[in-house]
Formats: sequence, structure tokens, C-alpha cells
Amino acid sequence: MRVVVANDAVILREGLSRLLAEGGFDVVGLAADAEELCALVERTEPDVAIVDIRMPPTHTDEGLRAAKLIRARWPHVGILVLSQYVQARYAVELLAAGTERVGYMLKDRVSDLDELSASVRRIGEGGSVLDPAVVAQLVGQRRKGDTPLEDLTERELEVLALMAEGRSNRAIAERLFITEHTVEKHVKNIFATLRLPQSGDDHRRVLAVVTFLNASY
Amino acid sequence: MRELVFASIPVAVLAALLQRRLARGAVAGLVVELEGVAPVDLREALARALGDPSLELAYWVPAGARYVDAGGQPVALPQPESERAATVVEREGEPIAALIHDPALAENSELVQSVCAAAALTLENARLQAELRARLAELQASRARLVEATDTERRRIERDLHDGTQQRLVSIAMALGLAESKLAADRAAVQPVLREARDALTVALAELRELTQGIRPAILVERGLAAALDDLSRRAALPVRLDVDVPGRLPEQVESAGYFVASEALANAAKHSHASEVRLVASHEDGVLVLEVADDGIGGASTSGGSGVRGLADRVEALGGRLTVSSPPGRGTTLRAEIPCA
Repeated sequence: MRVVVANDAVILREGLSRLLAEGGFDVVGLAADAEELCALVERTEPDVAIVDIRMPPTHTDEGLRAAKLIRARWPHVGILVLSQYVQARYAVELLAAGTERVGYMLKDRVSDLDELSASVRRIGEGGSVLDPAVVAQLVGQRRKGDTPLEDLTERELEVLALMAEGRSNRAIAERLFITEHTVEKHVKNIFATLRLPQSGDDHRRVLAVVTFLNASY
Repeated sequence: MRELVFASIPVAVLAALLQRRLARGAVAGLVVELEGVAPVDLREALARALGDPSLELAYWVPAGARYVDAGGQPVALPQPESERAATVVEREGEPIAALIHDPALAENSELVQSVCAAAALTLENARLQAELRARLAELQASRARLVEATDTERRRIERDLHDGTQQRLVSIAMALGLAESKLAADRAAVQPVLREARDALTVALAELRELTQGIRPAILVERGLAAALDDLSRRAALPVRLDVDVPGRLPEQVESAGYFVASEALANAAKHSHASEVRLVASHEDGVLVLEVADDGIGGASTSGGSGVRGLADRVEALGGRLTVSSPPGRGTTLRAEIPCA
């Protein structure tokens, strides 16, 4: 799988590149800011671009804006946005433009090579990735109010969170040591309780769940 | 031309006599108005008495050695030869206010003098009010500046942490992740990766140490102002003669402000003064910390402006203290802070 890395800090750019190479990815280019990144994407058309959210010149959310631009112009290029902070708002903004080939992950997470590789792969294959910390923030916000989340069992909440992270039924089943069939039953219950339209499509279900969780914002 | 002037003398005399009578009437009217029970718009009353609708009043604020309007906002007196003229009203040798008026009025100085004399007491009252407003405005401005300075400082700390330490820690995490992954297949390749992680960790620790020192030096927290000033003078870019006589511990805010003043003053001296030596004196008299930083440099530093000095003054004044700078050209710069410890 071909990837590019955009980060203004040399140590992170180089570190990520080495790590991804170790994980079996073909790192085809590095960029130091959003402008370089767009040129790089245009030239190399990678499977996934791994983008730091904060880059020059303003050091605010250039990475996020570049990600949106890339999604619009090169929809077949996957995007993984890395952030130093848990910012559910940004994640939701990113997913709102479509939940295919997109992810939002905390920078700290990259030390786990297996997790990083799995996430990049999932995005490259068309899926989505939402950092568990972001999901936890969304669920936490939502639970403060009067919400149908209260009517979910603890197990269903676990499944909901894993769904929001972008995991498939099979991945959820593996994670929770239950059968895929049981996961399907939980998912059905969750959608019924939250009064969300059922969908067999993974992408639409991520969007539905995240939109629901974000609604209290 | 000259002949014309001579010819006009009798007219001028006549005009003066007429003016004097008019003036007497105007001053009498003014006195009645000012002593009346109804509140008076002082400017209007004076403008009427002087026959100059464009009249403006400026009140003297001794603390700032400047003039302000009734609302407390700074006012500059007109320069000589400009389109406006100013007459300063004094009371017991001290300026109270200045009338800013049409220069034509200067020709009728008798009227102006009489009006000023009649209005002196009322002007003094108005001056006190204007001074109060000026102090309030100054207080609000300094409060806003303090908030802004705090914000700037927090932004700087956040950026330092984000761009430095956080990035480095992430890179260490990545190196360890890489090491973990290599461990099974290629043990020999792990060692340089671990070494790299350890080096990066050492740098991150040094950065954090520097940052926390910048926020609040450990020596100040642990040992107090005298030790911190000693430490500061040893690390200063210029040789410092230190004369510190303060008790073991002072209130935390006083210690912090004192350290901040000394540190900024030493940095300024090193940067701008071309001095060969700085004298740093700190003493504690009657519950007041007095801190003096004097260099033997070129002087001529701005004593009021400059955001640096302004920031120091804000900080000292917030604690009820006073900061003065004297910097005569060629005779060095002395910065003196008095901070009450109560």
C-alpha cells in the first residue's frame, strides 16, 4: 500500500516514515506543510495520506483543511488525520464529508505499530477510523443529557463505541470475544433504541452513529 | 503699514476699555452661575464668559504629569504658534487646568485672567473628578494589558510544549514501537533505536526543565527571592554587583514580581545599555520590598513607553507598588520598584 506523510516536525515525519516502512507500507513521499502535501498527492496519488492537523503557516487546522480539499479533489485517496489533542468537533467535521477512506487518530496512538498499520490499511481499503478517545468524548458528552443512550446496556454501549471507531462486525466480534451473529443482534437493538434507520452499509452506519453522538453538541 | 498701526491706536484703546467693561460683566455672570445651586456645565459657562465657543478644558494630573479631559482621556496642549492657544490655570503654584482656546483670546489676557481666577475653585473640583476618571481608565487599561500578557504567555507555553516536548515524546513512542516490532526478527537493529529514544527523552526532559524554569524558577519556589536573585545574577550576561538584604521569605506574589522585575531589567541592560556592569540592590524597609537595578550604560532608555517596562509597571502596580525608570543620556539606566509586602 502506497502512503505519504505530511508533518512539519522533521522528527515525526521521519519517525512515522520509518514506522510505516517497518509496517510494510511503501512511503512514496514526505511533505512539510499543506501546500507540499497537495502537490505530493497530485503527483503520487497514494492510497493513504497521513496528515498532521496542525501545520504551517498558521499552526491551527491546516491539516484538516488540506484533508477536506484532498477528499474533494482526489476522492480515491484515503486520509488519516493525526492530532495532538482529542477534538471530537474536528473528527465529526472530517467524517461529515463522507466516512469512506478517512480517519482521525491521536498522535500518541502511532507508537503501536500494529494499531497504526491496521488503521492505515482500513482506510486504504475504503473504511474509516475514529480514535477511541474521540468516541469516548462523544459518548461522554451525549450521556450528560437526557438521552436514549441511557437505555442501552453496557455491552451495547461497547458495541456502539466500536462501531463509531469504524470497526466492522467481525472486528467487533473479535475484540469482544463474541460471535458475529451476537454483534449483529446488538447492532440491531442499538439502532432500534436510538431510532436510527438500519443500514447494512458500514460507512453509513458509522456516519449515523457519529451524527447521533454529535447531535448534542 | 506702520502708519496704519499708529493711526489705529486710539481705536485700540477704545476697544480695550470696552472689553474691560464687557469682561467685568462676563466674570460677574460667571461667578453667579458657578456659585448657584444648579449643576453647571463648566466648559459651557467658561466658553460663554470668554466668548469662545471652541473652548476646551484640560485638567492636570500630577501623578502622570499630563493633562486629561473631563472623561480622563489624555489631552495634548497645543504647540506654540499653532492654531490653538493654551492658558494654564494655577493654584498655589501648582497647575490645575489649562484652557485651550482661540489664540485671539490671548490679546484679552485680562478677561482670561479674571475668568480663571473666578473659576479656580470649580476647576479644582472638576480636576479632581477628571483625575479620578483618568486613574480609573488607567486601571482598566492596565488590567486589560495584564490579561493580554497572561494570554500571550499561555500561548507561548502551549506552543513550546506542542512544538517541542509533545513532538519529541511522540517520536520516542514511535521509536519504542519500532524497537518492539524489530525485537523478534532483528534484535541487533533494536539497540540503535533504543539509544535514539533515550537521547530524545534526555532532550525532552531538558526542554521541560527549561520551560518550567521559565514559568517559575525552582530556586524562587524553594529558597525565596534572595537566593533566586543571587542565582539570576550569576547567570546574567553582564557582571552584576549584588546587594541583597531581604528576609528569608516574602509573600509569594511579591517574590515573583520582584524576580520578574530583576530578571527583565537585567535582560534589558544586557540587550540595550552597552553597560559594563549592573548593580542590583534589594532591600526590605517598612514592609516594602525595594528593588533597584542600575547599569552604567548609555542611558536614554524610554522611561514610559516600551511594552517591556509597561508590563513590569503593570505587574508592580497590580500589587499596589510603584515602578520608576530614570535614564538620562550618558548616565546609565536605573529601574526602581517598590512593592508593598502587605
